[in-house]
Amino acid sequence: MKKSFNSLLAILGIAALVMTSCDQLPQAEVDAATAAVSKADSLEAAIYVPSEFAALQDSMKEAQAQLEADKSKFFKNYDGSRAKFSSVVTLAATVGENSVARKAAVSVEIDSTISQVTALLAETRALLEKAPKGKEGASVLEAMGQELSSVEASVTSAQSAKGTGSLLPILDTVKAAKDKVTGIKTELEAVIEKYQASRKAKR
Amino acid sequence: MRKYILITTLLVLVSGFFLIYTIYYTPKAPLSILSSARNNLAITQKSVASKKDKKILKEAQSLYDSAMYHWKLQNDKWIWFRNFNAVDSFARLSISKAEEAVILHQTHQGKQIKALANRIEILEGMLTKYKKVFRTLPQQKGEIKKWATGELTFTEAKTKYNNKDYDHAEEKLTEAEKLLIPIYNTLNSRIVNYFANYNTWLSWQKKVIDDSSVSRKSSIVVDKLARKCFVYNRGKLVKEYTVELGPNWLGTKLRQGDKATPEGIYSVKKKKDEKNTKYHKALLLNYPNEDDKARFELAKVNGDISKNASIGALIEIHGAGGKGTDWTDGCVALSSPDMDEVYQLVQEGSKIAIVGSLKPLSTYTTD
Repeated sequence: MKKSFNSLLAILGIAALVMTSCDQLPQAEVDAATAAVSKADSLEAAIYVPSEFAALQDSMKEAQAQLEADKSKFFKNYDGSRAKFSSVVTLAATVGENSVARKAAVSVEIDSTISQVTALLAETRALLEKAPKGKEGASVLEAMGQELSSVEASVTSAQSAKGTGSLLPILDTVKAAKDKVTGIKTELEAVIEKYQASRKAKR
Repeated sequence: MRKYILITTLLVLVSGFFLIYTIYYTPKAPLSILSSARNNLAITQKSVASKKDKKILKEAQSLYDSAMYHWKLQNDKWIWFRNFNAVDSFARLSISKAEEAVILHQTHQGKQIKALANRIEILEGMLTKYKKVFRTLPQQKGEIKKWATGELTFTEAKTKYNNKDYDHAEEKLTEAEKLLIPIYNTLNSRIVNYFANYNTWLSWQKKVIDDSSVSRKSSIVVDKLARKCFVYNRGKLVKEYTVELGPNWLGTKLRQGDKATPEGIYSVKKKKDEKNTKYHKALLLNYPNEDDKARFELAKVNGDISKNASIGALIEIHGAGGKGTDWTDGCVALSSPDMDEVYQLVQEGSKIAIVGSLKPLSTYTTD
């Protein structure tokens, strides 16, 4: 009887121990997720894929909240937290890759836009030579020439800045330069066309 | 036997009570409030973009972090001794702050967008006027270059505005305004001051046209801003031609070498054919007239020109123009074929009025 009683006590004690013992805190998963988010940040995800990075940060917050919720329970089970932190690691890797890809795409777009601007500048300068002499004459043409020089300076400055800071403001600058040159070119083409039409009419 | 059964039953009951109490009656973390705080932060972060409102958003984030910190603290305690009141308070404060950030952002952004739109409209008006009127005015190279840089910066500002990046749009717009507005104001003053003589110009025009009726000689009116030369005979317009001037054409001539085309009423002193001028044909004017001399003396007295300056002479209407540029030393140039016609129409003694503009300033500034 005494033995049965002691056995029962032992069983109850072991059961209590098992029931109240913690599932191991998923520290490795937490550390991996933290490192993954940090890596995505270092890959400038906040700049190049800001909404994806924000979603990643939200996922991390959710995983941390799940961890605390699991810790709050009497019968601890961290399977939910583990799964969430694993998702964060996967998501962080994707966000990091997307950031790198986006940055590369922006860099390519900058180079492409600069090439287009360079070609447009050459075409527009050629049009300046052909532009008819009218009542506005060279004061306007000279102003256009100066505007083209400003565009050239802006593009040169953008090319120098490319290695130093964020690429997105540089892209804005070169796009503005392209719009400006395109505007001048269109204006000159319209003037030349008008002039040629009036010459034909006179003949 | 009974004793062991009793003890066992007691143990089971106590364990059961302990378990039930722990599971159902110990304090629970405010999971739904924390979830709301987290969701609120996520939503607010997407919508709040301005620097001013981001400060409040950071406060909301900080309050949420405090809630999480206290949650961790309580979780480290034995379950029966946990108290989540602080967690609940911080989470609720975070929600409240995030909501405050949204409201403030909506108010600020509304004002910011309106102010930006107004500033963009003003600058666009300036750019249009520059293109229409100021581009043709004599300007220093530095001014033109600065204006062009300002225009590029303005284009960037508009792109950011259209992309709803309002803080950066504001930065670029301020940069553009610093470049454009001083130049605009200078050019605007220049031309407004220039047009103060408008009524005088019209009176000169009338005088020389009337003279063409009385004297039976043709008259010429030169409109500098329009770069036009009008020939009148017996009070009626006969022909008009395009002209080129000196590069410093805005304003009247003060001295020799200033590359300015004079303004006033003159007469043809002498007609020069191909043998007597290198500019194909020429009409020598009686510059300086009495007004020119008086102005020259006053400028010397005022120190506007050197005491050793000469008033200049040999102002002509001549050919060899058609270059499309204001290239003369102050003369009025026509293309040689046009000059052939003018030479035939005009006589020695014919009156010439050189004016700033025959049209009012509003002609150039109204869309």
